[in-house]
Amino acid sequence: MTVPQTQNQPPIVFNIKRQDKPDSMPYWQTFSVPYRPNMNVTSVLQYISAYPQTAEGEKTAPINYDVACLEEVCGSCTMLINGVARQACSALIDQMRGEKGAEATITIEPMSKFPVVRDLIVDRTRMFENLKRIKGWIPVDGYYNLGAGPKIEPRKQDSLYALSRCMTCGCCLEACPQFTLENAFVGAQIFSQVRYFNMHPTGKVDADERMEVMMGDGGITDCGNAQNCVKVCPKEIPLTESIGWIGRKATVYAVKEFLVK
Amino acid sequence: MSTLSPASPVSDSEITTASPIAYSEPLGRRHFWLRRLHSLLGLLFGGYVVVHLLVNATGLWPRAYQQNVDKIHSLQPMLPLIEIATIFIPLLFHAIYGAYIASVGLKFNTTKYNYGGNVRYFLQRITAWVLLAFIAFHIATLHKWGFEAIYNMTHIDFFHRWGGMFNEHNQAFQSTVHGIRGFFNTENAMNPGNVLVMAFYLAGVWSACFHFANGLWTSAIAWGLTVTARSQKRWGDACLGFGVVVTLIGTMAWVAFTVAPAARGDVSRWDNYTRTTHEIQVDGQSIDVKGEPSNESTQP
Repeated sequence: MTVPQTQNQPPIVFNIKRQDKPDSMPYWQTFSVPYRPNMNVTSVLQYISAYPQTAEGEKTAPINYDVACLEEVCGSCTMLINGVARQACSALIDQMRGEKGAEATITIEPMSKFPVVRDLIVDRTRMFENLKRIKGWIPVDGYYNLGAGPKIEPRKQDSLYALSRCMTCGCCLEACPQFTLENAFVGAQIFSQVRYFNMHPTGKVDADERMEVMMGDGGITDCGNAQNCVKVCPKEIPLTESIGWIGRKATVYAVKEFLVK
Repeated sequence: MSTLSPASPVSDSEITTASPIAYSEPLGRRHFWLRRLHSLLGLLFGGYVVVHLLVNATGLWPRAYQQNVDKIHSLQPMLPLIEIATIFIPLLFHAIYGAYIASVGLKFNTTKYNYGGNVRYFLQRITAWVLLAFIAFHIATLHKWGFEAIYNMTHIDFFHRWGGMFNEHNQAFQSTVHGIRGFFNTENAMNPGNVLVMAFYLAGVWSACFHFANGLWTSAIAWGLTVTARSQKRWGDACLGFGVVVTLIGTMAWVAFTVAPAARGDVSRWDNYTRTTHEIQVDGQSIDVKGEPSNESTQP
C-alpha cells in the first residue's frame, strides 16, 4: 500500500466566520492548515484548536464548535461548509478539493437559521421545543408492565425506520426558504417526526394532539414546497413524502372536524 | 480582517440569551382554513384564467372572438354576479392573502441551493408580484369596474382617458387591440410606451401560466393528493405538459391583440366585419338584438 504524498500538497486555506458572543458582531478569520490525507472538517477544527493562529500568524482564541459522534449520526457538528448545511465530520477535505480544486478556499460558517452562541456553536433549542410540542415520543409509561408492544409488519417497519433516522441536525431547516429566525414555522424535521409517531401503532394514541399542532400557526400549511429539505437531508429521509402525508391527514382531519365534530 | 483579543469566557446566562421562539398563535386554526382557502381559490381563479385565455386566443379570428364575447355577455343580467363570485372574490382573496403570506417570514436561497424545486418556489413568488401588478393594470384599464368606475364617481378626465378601454358592443376585437397594441398611441404601434405595454402583457400571460401550472403541482402536495416522491414527479410532469399547452394558448391570445395580421394597422376597418348585433329601439329604449353582419360588410 502506498502512503499518499503529503509534502507536495499545498496547505488548505479556510475562511471561518466567528462570533464571540450571542449578541456581538460576527467577523471572518483565515486559517492555513497543512494537508493530511483523509482529513475532515472536524479534524481541521481540531488542528486549529491545537495551533490557534490565523494565516497571517496572529494568535487567536481556539474556535468553538460542537462535535460528538464523529460518524454522522448525532447531528451536532452541523454547520455551513462552502455555504451549504452539512456535518463537519462527514465533510471530507479530499472530496471538496476534488470538486473545487486543491487551491480553493473552504468557507465555514455557523448555521444561519439558529441563534449563534459562539463561533460555530448554535442554539438548536427550537427543534427540541417543537419535538415537545408534538409529543415526539411513544406513550408507554405506566405503573405496571404493559407487556409487549403491538406487532408491526415488516413493510411498515421499513417506512418507520427511514423516518427514525432523523438526528435533529437541522439541515432541512437551514436549507428551507420558509424557515427563518423570526417566524414560527416548524419545518420538515417536525413533519417527518409527526408522521413517524402517528404511523406507529402505539404512538398514534396522541395523533390528534399532533395534528392540532400541524394545523396551527407555523404548521403544515406554511410549507412552500421548495423541497430543499429532502435534497440536503444527510440521512436521506423522505421528507417531502412526510409533508404530503401530513397534508393528506390534515385534509381528512379538517373535513372530519367540519362535518362531524 | 479583525483580530480577536484573548478569549473571553461566555457565562451560562449569556448562552441562554439565544431566545427560544415564542409560539403566539394569533390565528390558530383559522390559519389552516385561510391557507387552504387561498389554495382552493387559486385553483378556481386559475381555471377561469384558462377559459379567459382560450376565449382571447380566438382573437386570432376577430369575428369568432366577437361572437364568443357576445356569448359571455348573453349571461346578462347575471354576468356581474358571476364575475364577482368566480373572478373577483377568488382573485382578491388569493392576491391579498397571498401578498401577506409572501411578505412575512421568507428567505430566498436559490443561489446556495439551486435545485429545481427551489427555483420554482422562487419563480412562484416572483410571478405572484408580477401578476399582482399586471392584473391591477389589466383590470384598471380594460374593465368597466377599473378606472372607468372611478371616473364615473369623480369625473376626473385622467380615469376616463386610461380606463374602460374594452368595449364588448361590436368592438370587442378593435377595443382590445386599442387597449394593448395601441395603449398609448393608436397611430404608431411601435411607440415605446405601446411596446412596454405589450411586453407587460406577455410577461403577465406567461407569469399566469407558470403560476397556475406550478400551483397545480404544489396544491396536490398541500392537499395530500400526491404523497410519494414518484407520484409527485408524475403529477409534476403532467403539470409541466399542462403548463406548456396553456402557455401556447396564452401566447396565441397575446399575438392576437399585438402582432397578428388582423391587429396591425387601422383596426377600425374591422367595424363592419365583426358587427354581430344591431341596436334597435323598443319603446324609446335601446336594446341589442343578435344579427348577421350587414350586407355591405366584406372581410378587410
